Amino acid sequence: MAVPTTMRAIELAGIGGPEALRLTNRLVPAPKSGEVLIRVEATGVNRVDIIQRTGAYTPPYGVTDIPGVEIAGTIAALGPDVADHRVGDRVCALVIGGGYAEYCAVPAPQVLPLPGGYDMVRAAAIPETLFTVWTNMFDHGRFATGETILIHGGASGIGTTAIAMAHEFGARAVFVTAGSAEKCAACDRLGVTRSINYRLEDFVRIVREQTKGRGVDVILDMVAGNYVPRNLSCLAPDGRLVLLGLMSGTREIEINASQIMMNRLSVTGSSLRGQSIAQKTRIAQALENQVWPKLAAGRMAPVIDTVLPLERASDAHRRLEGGHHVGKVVLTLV
Amino acid sequence: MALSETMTAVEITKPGGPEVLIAARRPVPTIKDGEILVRVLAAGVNRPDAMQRAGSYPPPAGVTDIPGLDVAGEVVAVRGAGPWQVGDRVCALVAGGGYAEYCAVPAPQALPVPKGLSAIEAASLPETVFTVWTNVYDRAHLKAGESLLVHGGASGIGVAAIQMAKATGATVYATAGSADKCRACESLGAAKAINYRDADFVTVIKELTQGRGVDVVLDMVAGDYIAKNLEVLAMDGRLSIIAFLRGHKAEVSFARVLMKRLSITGSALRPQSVAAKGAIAASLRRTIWPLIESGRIRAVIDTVYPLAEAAKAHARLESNAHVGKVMLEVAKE
Repeated sequence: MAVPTTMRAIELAGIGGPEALRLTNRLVPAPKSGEVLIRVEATGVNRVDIIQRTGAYTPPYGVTDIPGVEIAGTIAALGPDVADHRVGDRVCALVIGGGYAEYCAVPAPQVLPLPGGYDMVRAAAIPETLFTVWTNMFDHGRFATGETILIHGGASGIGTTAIAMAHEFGARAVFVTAGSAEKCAACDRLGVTRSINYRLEDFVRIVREQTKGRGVDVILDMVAGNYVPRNLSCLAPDGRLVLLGLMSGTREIEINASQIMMNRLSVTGSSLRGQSIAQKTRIAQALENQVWPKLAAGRMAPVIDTVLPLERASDAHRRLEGGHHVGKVVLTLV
Repeated sequence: MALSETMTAVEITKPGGPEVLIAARRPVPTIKDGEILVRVLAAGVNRPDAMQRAGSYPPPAGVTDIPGLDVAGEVVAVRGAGPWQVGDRVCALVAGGGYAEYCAVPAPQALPVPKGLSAIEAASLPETVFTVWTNVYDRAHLKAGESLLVHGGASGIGVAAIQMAKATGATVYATAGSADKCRACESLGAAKAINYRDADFVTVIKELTQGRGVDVVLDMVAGDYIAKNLEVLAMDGRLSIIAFLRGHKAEVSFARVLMKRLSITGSALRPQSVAAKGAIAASLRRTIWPLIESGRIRAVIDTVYPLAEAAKAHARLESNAHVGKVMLEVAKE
């Protein structure tokens, strides 16, 4: 496959609103040792892209400034020392940046085959979410069959995936919070035990009622802030609170640490982007073994909210920031 | 051996200072299926005993009001199948009842007295080594080659944590409140003990670790220490909280938790099930008992008082001048 020297890409013309995203021409990256070059056909839009656009996240030294952390496409070239991929393979991948472009260089272990029956749009909608949900729910949250889980932001991309994952891996009960009746209805259609409209109901009270006062085993929370002490109040003994975002900000929060000790709780959190390639490789292997067959069998599927061409990246960000989406926003490049 | 029906035990006559601890006659406990009766030779004095005496830490439901969380002695009766026989020398973790001539013990919570140790030395171990194991190893996953910071390094828990971590291949740092206590911590294997009255432990640890921080912190101080502990933890670090000498309230930066992939956890031993305590005992017997019997980990005894002088033992514990464990001798070996 002939690889051109330049490509279309979206860059940040300064820090700011969605209008800061600008279509431009860039040099096609050269795959380094252990990397593959992917001809991108679709790329998922994520909250971390918005955080980068507003200047709250700066890519580390050596990482492209082009946003975008998940892609699907075709392998166009191999860097040195890549054994188990071939030019022409149809793949999807988690990337540390550079997804909003026609070509993207990726560490080979982060590249996964397209799940059986998947097109590029659906395949581009899954890596960031599945890597995030897997590592937080299983590696950090140590979720086990027969346990109960509370998922905040149940209608988000992370939320809908976590709901499906909880069902597939044997959750006894799945509780979610969401911010509108429509979003709660969407979660209910995914088969949750009880959706909670946080604008109308106190999730601590509902979860405690529904679990006969025991609380849940695992909570996935991307809100943090004042949710943290409330989460501690609805965890069961030996419960795990996993933070995967800070949507309510970074200010310090007062907690009662005796709740942690007396109930043997654990509070943890992670951002996927900061993890090593080795850790991402372990997650990729777990996903390919345990989740890809479920995707191919149709037992789990991404929820796609909107598909837009690359040049409408600004509209894609507006859609995500509007907060009315249910599921993923995806950009296409073909 | 014919057992008497009554025994000497120390009661908490009312909530208050050490003087409310009074020796009294009590019935010898009757044991249930799965329990052993131990003729107590020595019992450990622990911080929760003082809290129970002051009225702030009532025993769990169904547990004797007699204080005392660890004992060593001789098995004098057994009910049900189990590993113990009359005449075995054991030390054990109990939920209460240690300050007495006889103590009922769930069989899985007993361990053999390590070879070469006296009853007093053996009785100094259970509460501290169970606590360190479950919090530092089970919950905070300390591994060989990692680093541990122990607050209260000269306390009973502290001396156990320093020695266990060092003997299992970790680098240990400790904080303590005097130069003498710091020297004691370092003689037990701490790479550096920091006198918290003279120096900021965050600054010292950051210097000693070239800015990296430590992998695990074991904290019985809490309060404003919690934020400092999160500051001093390395990437993927774990904080385990086991007590609250400076209060329950903590201001926490969860951005720091998320960006450094930290984990905040902790546990109290006493409310846990017999099965959970038995699992800890099995781990200790496999991993820590050989290190005790080879002398790599030793009992650190601060002072020994006769059972009837339990009030003096509490006063010693609450003076915070002790290094290691304050013990009660219940009967001569």
